[in-house]
Amino acid sequence: MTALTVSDLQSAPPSLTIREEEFCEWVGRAEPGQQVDYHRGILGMDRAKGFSPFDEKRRRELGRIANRAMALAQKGRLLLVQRRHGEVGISYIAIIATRRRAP
Amino acid sequence: MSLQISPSDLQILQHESELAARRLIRRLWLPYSELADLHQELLLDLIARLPGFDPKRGSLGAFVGTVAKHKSAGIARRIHREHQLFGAEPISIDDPDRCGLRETVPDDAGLGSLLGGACDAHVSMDLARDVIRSVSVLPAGLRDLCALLQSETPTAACRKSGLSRATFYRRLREIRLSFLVSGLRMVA
Repeated sequence: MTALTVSDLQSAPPSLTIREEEFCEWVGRAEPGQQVDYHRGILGMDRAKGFSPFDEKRRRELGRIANRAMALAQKGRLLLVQRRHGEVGISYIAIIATRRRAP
Repeated sequence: MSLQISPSDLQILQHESELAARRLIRRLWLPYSELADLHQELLLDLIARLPGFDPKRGSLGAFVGTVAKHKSAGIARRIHREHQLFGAEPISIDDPDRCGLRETVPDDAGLGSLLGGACDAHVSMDLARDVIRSVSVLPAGLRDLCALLQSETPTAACRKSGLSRATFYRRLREIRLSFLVSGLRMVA
């Protein structure tokens, strides 16, 4: 994966890394260990009203994606990790968790 | 010796048995047409066990609630066994083209519209089982909506749900996304 740069963030129009339906479909079909970036940027700001670079519709969609990722992580279906790209932002990564075998 | 039940006690029995029946409908994703039968089965069991009520040990409501809970668990086990033996939507081997889900809900309506495509009888049995599993993990409100969509078109379901059109279709979308997360997808 190539690192994000400041010019990457400044020049590109704001768009979601992945759409909500794509994320749900990925969760449903991905195998344990597979991963996806569900956001790139600063999630706390990017989903906050008044701070987000997205229009309202996309901002809310990002919020739903983040909430769903957290809910699935709490159920043990996903592992959520972050990869920092210097000062410019963070990649938020969801990894399909390995299913535990029953003893 | 005949059993004497006061009108107020009977009201408690009817209320608790109806609550328990509705709970079963929601949790097992049963058609609403089975509500009356389940209600009657639970009510009869409560009446039969009423002689065992001891007012010194607690209220009638608490006694009835506990009895209904145990009876509901037994009913749920029985239905689960039936599903394992015969499938959630039993299909006659003499009628291979019959598709239980398709007969009651057209492909372009109800849950079929959520899953986005037609299915044949063989796929529908696995699909019905997967749908039941996916529905079981939904919040109660969305499960109720799925039960409604089992027998109604989205338009009729929206009207019966009492929800605004925007809220109804927002919840339909959430059901669809939850199905995707569960790995539910149609075979073309």
